[in-house]
Amino acid sequence: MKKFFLSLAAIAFMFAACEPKTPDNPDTPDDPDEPEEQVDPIVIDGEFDDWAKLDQASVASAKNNADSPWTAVKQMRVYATEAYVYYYIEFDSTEAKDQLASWDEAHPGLPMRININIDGEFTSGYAKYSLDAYDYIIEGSLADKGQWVSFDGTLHQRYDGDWVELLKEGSGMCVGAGNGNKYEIALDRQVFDRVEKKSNPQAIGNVLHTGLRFYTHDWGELSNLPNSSIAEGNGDGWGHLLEVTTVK
Amino acid sequence: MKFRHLFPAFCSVLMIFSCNPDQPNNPDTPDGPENPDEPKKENPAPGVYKFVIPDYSSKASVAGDGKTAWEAGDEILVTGGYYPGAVTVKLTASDISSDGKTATVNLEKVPETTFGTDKFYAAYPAGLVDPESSFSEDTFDFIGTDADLLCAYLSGDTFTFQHVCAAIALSADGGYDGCVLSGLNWEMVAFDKWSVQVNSEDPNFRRGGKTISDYFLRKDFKNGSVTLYFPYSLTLNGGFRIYMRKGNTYPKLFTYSGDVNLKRGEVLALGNISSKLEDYSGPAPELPKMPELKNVTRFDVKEVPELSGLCLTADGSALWTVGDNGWFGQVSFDGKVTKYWTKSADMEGITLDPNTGDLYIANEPNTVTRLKAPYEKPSSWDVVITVTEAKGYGNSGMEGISYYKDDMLFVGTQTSANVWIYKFDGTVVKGPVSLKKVYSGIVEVGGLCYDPVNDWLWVSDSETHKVFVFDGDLTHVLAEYPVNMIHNNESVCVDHKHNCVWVGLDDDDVCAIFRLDFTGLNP
Repeated sequence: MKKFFLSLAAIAFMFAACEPKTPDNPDTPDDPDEPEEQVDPIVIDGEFDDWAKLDQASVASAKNNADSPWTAVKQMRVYATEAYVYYYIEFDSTEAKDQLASWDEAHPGLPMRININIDGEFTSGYAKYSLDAYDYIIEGSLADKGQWVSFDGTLHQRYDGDWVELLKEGSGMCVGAGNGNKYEIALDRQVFDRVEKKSNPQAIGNVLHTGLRFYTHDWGELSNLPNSSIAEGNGDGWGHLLEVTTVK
Repeated sequence: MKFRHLFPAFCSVLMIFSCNPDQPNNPDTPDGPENPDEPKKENPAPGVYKFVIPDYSSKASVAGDGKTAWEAGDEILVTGGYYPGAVTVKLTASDISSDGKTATVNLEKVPETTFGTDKFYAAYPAGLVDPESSFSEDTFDFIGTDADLLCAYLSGDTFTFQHVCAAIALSADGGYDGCVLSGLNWEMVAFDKWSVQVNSEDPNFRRGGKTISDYFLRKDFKNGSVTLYFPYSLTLNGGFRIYMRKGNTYPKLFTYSGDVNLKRGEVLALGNISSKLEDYSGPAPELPKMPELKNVTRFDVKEVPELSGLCLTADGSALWTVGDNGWFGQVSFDGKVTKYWTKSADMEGITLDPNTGDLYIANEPNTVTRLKAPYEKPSSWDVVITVTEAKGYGNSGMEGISYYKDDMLFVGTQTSANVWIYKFDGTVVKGPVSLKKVYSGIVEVGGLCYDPVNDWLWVSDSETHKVFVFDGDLTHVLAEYPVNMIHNNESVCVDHKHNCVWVGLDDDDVCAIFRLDFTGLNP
């Protein structure tokens, strides 16, 4: 009989070990005293090999269209987890050198905008530089006086026909790093979601849509991604925003 | 051993297997290799691969023609679409078949990750592939085109290469050091970069990109012969010239008459051209040395709304200025503004007839009006030219105007960067000439200024933020000057007296004139 109870105890232990992770389960990594250690798939360090190790089916990418008006940026890649939205940017190598070298005291930066649509609705919002309207931009700089710096721009919402500032530059919503002709950014979704918006939804959804707009140091037009060939009805060569599905 | 003793252990093993989500053979996980719905994609493994080189469709008859056989030492780049994981294969003599067509190589290491339509891609020569294009996928960015560029994708165990270039091959006696080829009609024949997309579904051998191009292709002779390579294709209307070089001189000239239309993989074999060479004593085959931009100075002119046109006054002491909303006046070289009047007109450009002092104003979309001196009132507002082709151009119509010579004007539009020459009486003399077709780097005409000293046409393009210089006959571009500091450069005015060029900024807030100081502006 004693051995029978030992058997039952062993079976009970195994079931306990297999119990799904819940907040009430003190043994699961969700225990606040023992937080689960999240492994970020991308480290923002200016080294880009981690981008090659991602499941490429989950990476949204856009290459520069050869018949678009632009040549400066060759491609963008976007990967989203529940914690971050990651951006990879690859410049034309000659253009990257030229742009980094062409700053002046009045314009020491290299401006860029992240355009984001979080609600899957493309008719309201800002309808320039993309074939899909979008509601948010993060506007900041990739460089300062010829050196790559961390991008952490200002968050604006398009509301009632104007851009409304929601979060100032340097608030820690983004972190970026560049190396050679490449640059990567992590957008902290929690920071973005916590900012009070002028309209709902407040948070980035499971599926988001995004694009990038690049400027020269003095705000000349440099590039626009995604883009397309100049055609009847699309004389500017704009493209549709990239659709990115969050990896869980 | 009693079964009841084994029961707990059996259950434990069962539980462990059933609750381990990372168990590699779990058929229920989407990535499980045994999942029949989503089989794991296997990358090609290390092993034996073949590299096959093609012929040219029309073989040259002289040594030094296009590359059609592998040689020991040739280096081929093999990628999985991610450059940092690429492998460079250096061929040895034992790898190469007796006819040179096939190299069979045991690759002990292959790229670990693959991107794009196909698994692996290969390019020759490896040294000309841009290492800074990381996620290259099925695209190779060649950082030089003075070579027989080849590329391929993997099918089975074989890379069957395709030529990227067309070629012209020739030889000559007489100890020439090199040669320079140019078309008869200012066609671009040389490129510093070329981008190629090669795959099994939708290849593109002309992907474009930021490329510096040239009207002259230069190459050294090797053992009395030379092969010239042209990425994608070569189209030369009427033929071409080859200037034979000895040291820094060009004593002989070869002229080929007849249209040339070569596609990639085709070679024009000229053979030995010694007997066809003619004496030559003309200028070296090169563009003239162009002025060098040295300094840029800004002067705000906030009293001028939407500045869109500039030209020198008759005495060269100031600038006549117009604005989009019908503003007319004068601006001094340090930005002091004298307003004359405003009129309900979309004035986009202004120029002076040096013989009469009359001003000619370009109005969007398609008219030119004459303003006779004195200019205090727009009383003599006569429409003298109507550009019929630009009638429907709307807000992308006429932006540039400049006095040419002999009672003629250059006028230009944003649309298609079109330029015409008109007589004062409204008769068209030339055009439309699309500057986009002359040089693909320009997008629109924002302002024009004819430079009679050099016989050049200066063109301001507010889309590319550049000022271009074309020859007076509008056949080729001579220079382009980035003016990124002027984000809407809609006017240009050459001022030889002060060795500078004036460029106007049309801004919704504060307009400005920029003084661009040059050296070499006056010959």
